[in-house]
Amino acid sequence: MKKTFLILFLVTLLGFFCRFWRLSTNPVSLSMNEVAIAYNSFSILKTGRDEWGSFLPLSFRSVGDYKAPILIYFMVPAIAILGLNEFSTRFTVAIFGTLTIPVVFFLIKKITKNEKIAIFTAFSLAISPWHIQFSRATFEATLALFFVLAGTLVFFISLEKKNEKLWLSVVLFVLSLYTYHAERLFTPVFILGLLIIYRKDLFVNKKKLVTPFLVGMILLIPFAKIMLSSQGQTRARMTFITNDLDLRLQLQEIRPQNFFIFKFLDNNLIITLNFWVKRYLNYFDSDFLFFKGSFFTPPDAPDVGLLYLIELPFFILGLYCLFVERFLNQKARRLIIFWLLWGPVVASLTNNEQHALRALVWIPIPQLIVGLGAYKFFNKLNYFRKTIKVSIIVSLVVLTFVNIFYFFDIYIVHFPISFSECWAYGWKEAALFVWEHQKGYQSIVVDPAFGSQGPYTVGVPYLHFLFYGKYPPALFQNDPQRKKGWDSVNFANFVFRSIYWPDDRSKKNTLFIGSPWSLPPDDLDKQSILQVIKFKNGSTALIIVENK
Amino acid sequence: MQKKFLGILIIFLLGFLLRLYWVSNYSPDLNSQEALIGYRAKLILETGKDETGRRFPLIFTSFEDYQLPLKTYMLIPSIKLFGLSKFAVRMPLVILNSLAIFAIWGICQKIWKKEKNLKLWAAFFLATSPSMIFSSGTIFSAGLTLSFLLLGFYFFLGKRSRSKFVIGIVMLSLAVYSAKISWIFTISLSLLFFSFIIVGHRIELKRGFLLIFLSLIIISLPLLIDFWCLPSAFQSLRDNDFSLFKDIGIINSINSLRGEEITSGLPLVGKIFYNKAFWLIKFLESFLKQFNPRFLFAAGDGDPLHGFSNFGPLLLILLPITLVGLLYLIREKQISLYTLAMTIWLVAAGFPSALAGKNPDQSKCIFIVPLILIIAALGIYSLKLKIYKVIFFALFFLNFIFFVFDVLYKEPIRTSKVWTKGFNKFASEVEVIAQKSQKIYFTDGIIQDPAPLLLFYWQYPSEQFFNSDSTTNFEYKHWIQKIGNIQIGRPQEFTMVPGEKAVLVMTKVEEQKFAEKFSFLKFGRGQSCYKKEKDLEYKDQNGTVVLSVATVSPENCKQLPK
Repeated sequence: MKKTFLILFLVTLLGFFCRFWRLSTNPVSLSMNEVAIAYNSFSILKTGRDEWGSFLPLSFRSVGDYKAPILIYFMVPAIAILGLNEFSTRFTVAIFGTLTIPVVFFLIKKITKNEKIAIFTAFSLAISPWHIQFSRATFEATLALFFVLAGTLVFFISLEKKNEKLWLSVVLFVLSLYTYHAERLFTPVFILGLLIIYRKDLFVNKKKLVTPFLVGMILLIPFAKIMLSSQGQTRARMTFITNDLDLRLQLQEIRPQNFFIFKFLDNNLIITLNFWVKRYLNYFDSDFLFFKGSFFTPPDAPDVGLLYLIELPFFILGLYCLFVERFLNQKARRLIIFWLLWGPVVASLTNNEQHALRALVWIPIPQLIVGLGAYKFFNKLNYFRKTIKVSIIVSLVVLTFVNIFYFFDIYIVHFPISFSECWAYGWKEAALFVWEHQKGYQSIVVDPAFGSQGPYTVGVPYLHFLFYGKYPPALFQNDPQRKKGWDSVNFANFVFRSIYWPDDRSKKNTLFIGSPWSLPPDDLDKQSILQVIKFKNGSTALIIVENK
Repeated sequence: MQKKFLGILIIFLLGFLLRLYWVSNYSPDLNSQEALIGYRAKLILETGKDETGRRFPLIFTSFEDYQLPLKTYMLIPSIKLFGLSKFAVRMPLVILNSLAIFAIWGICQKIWKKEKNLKLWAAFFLATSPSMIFSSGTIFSAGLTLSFLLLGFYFFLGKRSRSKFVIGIVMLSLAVYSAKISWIFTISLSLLFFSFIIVGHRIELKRGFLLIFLSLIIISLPLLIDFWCLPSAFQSLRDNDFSLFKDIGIINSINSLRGEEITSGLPLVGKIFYNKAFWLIKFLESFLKQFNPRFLFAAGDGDPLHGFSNFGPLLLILLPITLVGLLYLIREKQISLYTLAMTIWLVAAGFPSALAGKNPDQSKCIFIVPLILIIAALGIYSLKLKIYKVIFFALFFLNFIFFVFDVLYKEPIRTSKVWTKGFNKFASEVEVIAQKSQKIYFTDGIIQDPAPLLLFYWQYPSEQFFNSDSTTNFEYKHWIQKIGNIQIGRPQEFTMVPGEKAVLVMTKVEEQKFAEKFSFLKFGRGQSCYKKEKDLEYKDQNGTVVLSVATVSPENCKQLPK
């Protein structure tokens, strides 16, 4: 027992290292989403209100996407203690990401009744490229996953205690609903699955079911209110599969309706269903799981999947154990198969071919399958001579660490070069420069559109300027300029709008910040260029120009 | 006896009629490669020479690649009987591909003797399989090769007899003579099977295996030698069948990552991780891609020349039942010689597509299909309750109807460009005015290699094709660019002579750009004027004009306002 906990501690420590090493600088900069969440959290800390002045909201308007609230509130202590910076912004998610490792260990132990499988699964999660990347930035999905896993763990603990702590499980599940949009569909069906699979164990003590039920109902009232409002539905509407361009094209195809059976089959529902099935099966794609799922590098280039290549043979062996050998009990197998099939459904219902973040709730099933395979493999190793056994284990350990090293090389060295633009790189540098010179200009005009191939990304630079200037939220909320227009984010002498250089070049005592697409370098007086900020791939991100 | 064969006869008939219906009524017009092969068969039938003037060659030249002989020569009887038509070009394939239904039935009958109805389910699945129906409707050889391979293996199973052995060898040889992917598959299969014989100490199989292998090599020798002697045989293999290893995207990405390591101060890491070993990973990735459920059961590779663009090679409903079959196969621990042979087949079947650059390629991984169909049939067999079979069949029926509906009504519209829908009619209309002209200038801006389509639809006489010195009468660069008085290319290359009566077929964009160039030509010997033939247009599925026709003639000048 002690040995197991020591191993678990070491595994968690490894997971901690993978999630905290160079946390402030990798990913290369704070994304739009990260600064939005962090500044709202800062705003709650300082004023109790979000950036738009709403008091302790349950749905944060932010940049119009109405963010789920829990992460923002959970980040408050870290920001209060560590200040508003990159590390404090990422700290909360990284810590919950690390805590997910022991939670997974205990959960798998409860499901499989096997410590070794649980340790292998926890190890697979600790080094998982899939979980590491989403634990190293401010992703609500990581926190929501923690709640789902913790909720499931408490569910199993309370089953053993005749529903004693079931209310806590309900609280954790409900928290997941408030944390990330994908869980709003995943969790209710998942709970239903749990109830069906473990119905006999649950109904042993029916009286103890009343309290959790009531707790759940009470906690869900505000949630229902959010979901019934148009604000709560905004994100779902934006990302639902019916917004997919390919599907829309299919729905618009000509439909000859000659026979009844064709009329019956040729309707939007069946066409959408046929389209969705393809999306769903995308999540069982070997390429996605083992070769390119992380999208750290451009297509064709070497990349990393959601699992390591070294895990592939264990994954196959694990599937064999799960479906053929059936050495888990029936309920455990049912739960795992249900999770395996239901896990990617929510992600597949959105308008992306594959989306590793939205499918994060699928964890820990692929890891468990790897764990099962590893357990089986190492059991079989006992039949070999000691020298062979040792050499196989050493080779596997070396190969595993080569895989981990390869992942970090891709993640630390190549990912920033390939995709610094997607992480809003450059706005930090611009913000730090501008805050030093802010008082020297009557107006500072910032164009939010940028990108190396064209001004295709419209950022939220006002949040970067607020964040790096640690601008007092009370001042921002009450800025007279913002009162003029509902959507205005202008504050102090900052103006956020498109720059049209033929007109704007005549404006005096102004500092302009924009991409080369709005500030054409050939058309600029070289003396007026104060700074050129480049993306990590060398192309120009932003130019800072002054007009005296 | 009759009852025994009734089931398979009905299934064969169903499969044959499905293929026939698809080919004759609803598949769009011919692709230029199909037209080329059809016209070439006509030339060989009438003159004994192919389009480049070679007498009865074993390997043909085409825009895509070197083509193997079988698909051209097998069309000769059909063209002799039915004339040069779409039906004549596709009919032999329908017949030969339908034979695969018998082959899979026979193979299952010999391997799973006790499993009642398994053979019928396998034959039924093959008869209704999207990829098998598709390959029956086009001249692309994958389906044809598979039919011969299945027939070949059928004859090698069961009791040994000399006649069966000879027929089996002939069938395998026909597969080798039909497509290069069969070479890769056969070699991979042989190597894997030979390794199995050696590793598994199955010496009793060695003699039979070597006999088959050597006979196949001897019969294929003329073809292999002919191919070997081609000026760019290796180039052809590299470009078309082993293109994974020359994928410029992979090479560039490795170089790029190495460069990034150098700039980051980690050149050694770059050398360790990003080198030629990456091709091994890429190969594994490509290999596994073919077994992805989305590819096999839902989407295919999306290329309308390889399969139906909205479906995979197999119907979606077969996915769960295939998993059931797979579980049955593994759980029942039927590790017989045949199970091992199936595994070897499955691995070998993955090689042709894995080695090709564009991956997964539905036309190259067709050898995977029959095996999955057999596993699905095992799945059905393993269902204990009859109600499950009824439910499955009802769902299968709905899935199949949805497939038929999509393929009959939507696919022709979606894929009208690659299958040149409506070009037949357009070509016939152009032919009428072309007969009055001295020269025809035809753009290749929309349809690559349009010449074979013109030769095919105009039923261009073979005597006229070879009527003059072939060096000036016929030009073949990337594709056919000149035949007699027809010049194919881009308008900037058209060298029109004043006084000449010519027909110009150009794209809408080219027409706007070049109409002026041809509007009035005057030179010492005469003049010609440009006139657009307003009623002659080739439209795409949206009704947009993509090709328009104009005449350039001295007679048009008389109509010019003074």
